[in-house]
Amino acid sequence: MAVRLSDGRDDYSIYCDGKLACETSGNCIVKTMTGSDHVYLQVIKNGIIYGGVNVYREGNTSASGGGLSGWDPPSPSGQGLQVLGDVLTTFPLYTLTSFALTPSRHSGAYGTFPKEVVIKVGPRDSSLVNYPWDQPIK
Amino acid sequence: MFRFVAITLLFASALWAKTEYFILPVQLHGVHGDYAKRITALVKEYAAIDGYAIVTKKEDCDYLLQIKLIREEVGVAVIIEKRKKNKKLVWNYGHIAYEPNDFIPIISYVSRKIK
Repeated sequence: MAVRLSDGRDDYSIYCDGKLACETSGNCIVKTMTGSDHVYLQVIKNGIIYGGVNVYREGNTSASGGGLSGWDPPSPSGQGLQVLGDVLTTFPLYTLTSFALTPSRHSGAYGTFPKEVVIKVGPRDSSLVNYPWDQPIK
Repeated sequence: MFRFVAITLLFASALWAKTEYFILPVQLHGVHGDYAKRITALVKEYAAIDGYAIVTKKEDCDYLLQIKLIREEVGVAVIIEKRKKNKKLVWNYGHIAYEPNDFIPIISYVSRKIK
């Protein structure tokens, strides 16, 4: 999966699920060797998160929070509880059939990741580029 | 029986005890002091939501919270460090803010991590 940044710069690092994938954002190819249905990409420079995006299989990509996507990685706690609830309620009914019918995630039956992803870096509104941080709050 | 009650109370008080933070003066580089006040106020708001305490005396705290706002080419880098009283770094987080409203999700995330 090729990863590019919306501002075209190449001096950021790209992380995939918290691990360094590319030292620089120029010509970044991320190898998605995961069984999960999505990966979380982050744009980081000097330890500062500049953006992030969840990339789903079958090309279903969603940015979380626009320019602030890095602040809200997928919440394992909430999802975990949901999954636990699902398992407890449906496990007795579906144990045999689901094990028999569910295709392996490693088989690619859940789709593939897109070949290219562009991560938004920068303010949502171009008028914020020159925001007067050195002035008092109005 | 008395010993059992005492031990139970001891465990209960330990469970109910809130982690206490002292916020060090915000370090600013190219950013007006108003934003230090805004981000500090946000931390206090989220502390109330997430159930930890911000104390006014350094000697009363469990941890120090150091906030840095550093002007970047576009936006401001918000850096938040959780340190022990001996200044040893425990955890840190950095995220760009392109406008003051971007402080909210950053502090919300940090608050949930440090509570």
